[in-house]
Amino acid sequence: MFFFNPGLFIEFTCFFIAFFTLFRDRQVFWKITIVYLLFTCIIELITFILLKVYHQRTFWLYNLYIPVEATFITYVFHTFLRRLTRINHLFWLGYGIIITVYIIELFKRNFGYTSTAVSVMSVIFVLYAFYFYALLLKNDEYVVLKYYPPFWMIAGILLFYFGGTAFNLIYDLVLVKMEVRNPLLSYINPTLSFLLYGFWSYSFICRARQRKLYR
Amino acid sequence: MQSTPTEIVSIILLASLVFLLAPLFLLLYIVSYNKKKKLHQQEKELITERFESELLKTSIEVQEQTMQTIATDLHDNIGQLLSLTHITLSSINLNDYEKAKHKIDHSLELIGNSIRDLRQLAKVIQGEQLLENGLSQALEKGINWLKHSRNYNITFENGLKDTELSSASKDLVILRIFQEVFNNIVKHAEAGHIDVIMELEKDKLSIVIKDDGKGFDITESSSRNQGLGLNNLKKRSKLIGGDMDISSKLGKGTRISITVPYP
Ligand SMILES: Nc1ncnc2c1ncn2[C@@H]1O[C@H](COP(=O)(O)OP(=O)(O)O)[C@@H](O)[C@H]1O
Ligand SMILES: [Mg+2]
Repeated sequence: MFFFNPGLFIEFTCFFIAFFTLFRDRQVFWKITIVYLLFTCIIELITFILLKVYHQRTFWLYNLYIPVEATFITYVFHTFLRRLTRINHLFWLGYGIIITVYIIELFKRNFGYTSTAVSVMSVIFVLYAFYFYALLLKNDEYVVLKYYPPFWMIAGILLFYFGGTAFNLIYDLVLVKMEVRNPLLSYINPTLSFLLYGFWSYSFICRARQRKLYR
Repeated sequence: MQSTPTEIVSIILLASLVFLLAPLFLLLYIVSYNKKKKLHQQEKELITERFESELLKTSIEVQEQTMQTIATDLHDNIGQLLSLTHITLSSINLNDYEKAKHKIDHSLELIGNSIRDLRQLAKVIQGEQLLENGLSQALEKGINWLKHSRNYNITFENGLKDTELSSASKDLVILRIFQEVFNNIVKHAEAGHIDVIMELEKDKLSIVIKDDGKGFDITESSSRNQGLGLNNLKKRSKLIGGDMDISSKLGKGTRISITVPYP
């Protein structure tokens, strides 16, 4: 019954793919990725159970998840951009902004859902992604993008946060006020998740392949 | 707002789709650009490969050239001196003391000259490890040798004298260019005076070599399809990212200038 929820299904699939492709990887980054995905799955599962079984709204759980998400995605960019540039303070700045907005909003809304923090975070991550691709284009060294894990991982992040930002903005501006409900709209978030975790899964497979090649 | 909810929903869906497609197109663009980069990279590799083979050729040519000059010099200068000494000594009549003394003195002088020439030559051969002491020294030695062995009046402004700068690959090519230019002067110009100016300014090395020889018609020599040496000069300068310019006037002399990014 649980796995009829598409979001849950996608996350667990991605976690298992990560686990089986990466658990032997020596790089700390990929190990942390597995842990992060596990954490994501657990949060999602608890949310799902609370909602379906106990019919509870679970903003506090999402609020718990947001700083972890912000930290991990920042860490992803830091890891991949470090190979292309020496600028590292950028990440502290972005991270500082996200966390500050998050804390302020948390108290202002009395621990309600921190939607502004999520929007700010999304915008910052989209900018990072653009920066990453700009550097990738500028880089003289040629890499086979088809099998380049950072390319796909950041592609997932870009699609997820770019699409997500757009959707959330429109949603907040229009739909909430008008109380529009339409089953089609409920497909948007799963689609975004599907893109994110799909691209990530593929990048994990690329990483495993890379590891085999260079062993 | 007058629109009905379904219209709004479709607008939202459309907008979301657009927002998904935009980054997708970005990714597609990056992939296609990357392919171009690959082609570019392959081209670059080909060029460096060519450069390296050309360099190898150059280094062999430099060696050959040096051997040739040594052979010529042994034959023309030292050989001459020694045979002259031989003739002088064998014509000595021991009974004629005065004349004999004169001839022996003369022979001594000739042998002294041979020794001096041999030393010069040894320096040039040493110079084969030539660039080990840098381009500036190698040129200095070569020019000195030319001065003494062929009796040219040469001025040399050496702008690299007080620098430690060097470029392993370019130095060899520049040396080879010098050798070809001097070769041409010796072979064709019938000059008495050569000016060499080498200046380093803002990462650019500019070299000017002027002779006061008989000069030649540049257009004619290149259309005769003869100017292999001159063509090589052009090619070599391009190889190390430089520019070359030749001007020559019949009866006035020839001027060759080269500008190369350096080091
Ligand atoms: N410094 C010079 N003075 C006079 N003539 C020259 C000089 N340099 C080159 N030339 C003329 O240009 C021609 C082409 O020179 P080059 O390409 O070096 O061929 P090569 O030296 O084998 O004859 C020579 O045959 C000569 O007539
Ligand atoms: Mg010649």
